[in-house]
Amino acid sequence: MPSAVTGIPSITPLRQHTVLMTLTQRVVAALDWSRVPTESDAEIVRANEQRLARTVAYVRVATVPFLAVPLMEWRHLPHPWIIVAALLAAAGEALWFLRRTRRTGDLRGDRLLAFADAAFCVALMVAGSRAGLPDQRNAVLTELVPVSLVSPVVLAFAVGLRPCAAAAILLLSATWAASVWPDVTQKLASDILGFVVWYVAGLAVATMLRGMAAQTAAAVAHARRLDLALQREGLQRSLHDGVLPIFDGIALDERVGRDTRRAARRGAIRARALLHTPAESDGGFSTRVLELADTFLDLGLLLFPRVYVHAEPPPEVAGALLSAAHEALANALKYAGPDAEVVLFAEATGDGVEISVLDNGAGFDAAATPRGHGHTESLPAVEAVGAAWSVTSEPGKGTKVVLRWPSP
Amino acid sequence: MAVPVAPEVPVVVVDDHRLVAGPLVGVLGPLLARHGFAVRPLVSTVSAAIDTGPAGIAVCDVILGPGTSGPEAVRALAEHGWRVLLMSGYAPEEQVLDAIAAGAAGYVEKSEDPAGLVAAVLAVHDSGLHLSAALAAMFYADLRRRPLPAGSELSAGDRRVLRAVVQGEPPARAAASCELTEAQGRDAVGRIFAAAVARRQQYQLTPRELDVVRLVGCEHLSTAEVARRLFVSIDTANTHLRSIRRKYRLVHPEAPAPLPQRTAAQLWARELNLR
Repeated sequence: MPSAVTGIPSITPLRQHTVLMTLTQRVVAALDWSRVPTESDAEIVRANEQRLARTVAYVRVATVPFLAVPLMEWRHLPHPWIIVAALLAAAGEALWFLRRTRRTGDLRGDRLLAFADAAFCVALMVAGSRAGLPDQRNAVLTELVPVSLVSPVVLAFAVGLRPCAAAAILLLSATWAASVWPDVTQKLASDILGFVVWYVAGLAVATMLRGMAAQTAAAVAHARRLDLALQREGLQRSLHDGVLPIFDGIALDERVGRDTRRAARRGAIRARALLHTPAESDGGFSTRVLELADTFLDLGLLLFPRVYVHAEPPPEVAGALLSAAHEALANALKYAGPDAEVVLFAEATGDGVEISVLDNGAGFDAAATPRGHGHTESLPAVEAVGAAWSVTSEPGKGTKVVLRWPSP
Repeated sequence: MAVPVAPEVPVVVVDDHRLVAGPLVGVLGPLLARHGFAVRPLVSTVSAAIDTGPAGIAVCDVILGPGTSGPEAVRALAEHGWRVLLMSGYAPEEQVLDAIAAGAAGYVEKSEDPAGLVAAVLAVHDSGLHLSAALAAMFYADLRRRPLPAGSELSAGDRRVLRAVVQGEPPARAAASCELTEAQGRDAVGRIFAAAVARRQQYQLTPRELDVVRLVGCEHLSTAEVARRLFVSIDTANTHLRSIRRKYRLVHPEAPAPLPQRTAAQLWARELNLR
């Protein structure tokens, strides 16, 4: 089934409102299955729909015995066998109705069921009324009322407020009037009103129950996301309140060896980067930059990622620039020295993309090194997508690699 | 070695994480002494810091468990003449920026190496401000989130300086790479701080709104209960909630369109790390 809100339950606090709707939206949604914002696992909505379908199916079955009542007048009816046939047909139809709704568990949108049911009722009225003489028709049809009145409810539950459903109600009413003819009494008006009222009541009940189910589902999903977010927050808190201070403390403690302090500092920087990493990956530019940073943090680089993505760059540009950034980071890891700190800066806006890799490490003599300094493969690819690059360095003063792609 | 400043400028570290702060004071003591600073023993609350004697530079953790913390801590210290260099193992961006708006002179992360911390203290002493890469990164993100009205926004030149610091250049080198003199660079840093403060003030919640945010976001009270608790009418509570939502939307233009007022208050509470 189509859903307005698809996808993974998000644990970012912002997305929790997508399921909140105004009253009008809720009414429209309840009347139109396709607009209900289902969560990815709308178990509650599904169970509610199943209960609605079963309720209607049981009512459909329960009204069948009413058709046996005219048989008490067997001797006075000109065609009592018509009533027997109607009873059997209605029992068959109710059975079909029950089995179908049990199988699908879903009444909503089942137009075949609703219109077949309405058509059956129309046929039942036309045929059933012929069992009695013209002046007996009102009495005979009275026993058909319960069976026939279920049809508007089915239409309301399955089709909703639609011109075709309203037309079916009109057809049912008209057939009723024609079937009773010429035995017309004041009761005709209440019978016809019955069709309309049951349809409207069906609409109201369906709207209410479905709205409630959608809200409950949304609330449950919200609670689940909040719970996840809280869990993550709790984990983060224990990480930065409990674990980070230990790393930071060792990194500063002069009683331990230099290598241990260095390793502790790496651990602290790695942990901080973890705290800044978003909970879920969206495959976008920002995520890819952070993944690149993670790769080098894992390799022990003292790396500080700073990512500002306000627009998605074209994929080929992102690919070329990220490969070049990868190479720059690999060079920093290889040549900058063990204590060098590296900042990976990435900014993408409507005006273009800039990535820079800057380290405060050993540096090199740019004049004495061939063009690109180790960036043998990726820089031509950067130029090929229309981006510019620069590598500046000085012995002892670190290296800066800048990749810039102006939006055309 | 640098010429000692006379008389000795006191430095106090305010931190309730003894695990880090103990070694930190041990390292900073001798390093800062060479520059003419006297590092006092570690304290864990703002009031204890104030009680240590004449004011100097306080290196203060952004989140202090007991007593005042964050922006309030900065204000309390500043009232007694202290310059505050914020420090944190990990602090929510909003809280750091609010503390800067309260008058802090800079922010450093504890993972910064000791030389970096010394440089930060020196910068705060010399120019009253220290723009670390970590703080520049927060300023840079806030620049887009909370734009200032045209005219008071940072110039293209100042933005370039800020950006260069974000990219990893120390402020002096960032100024040089933007072809500015050292003095011009310092002025740019001053304007960058001023703009950051203005940005916060423009969208800051009033103390009353903060009360409402706390009651809705942390104590989960209904609007009627909030009104009763604050001795105001429900209409007034709703007015606060509307304003809270308006400010939230200004700062988070990506927030979904039907954002209920109370949800906005809950989001603020999370963002401001209120408990």
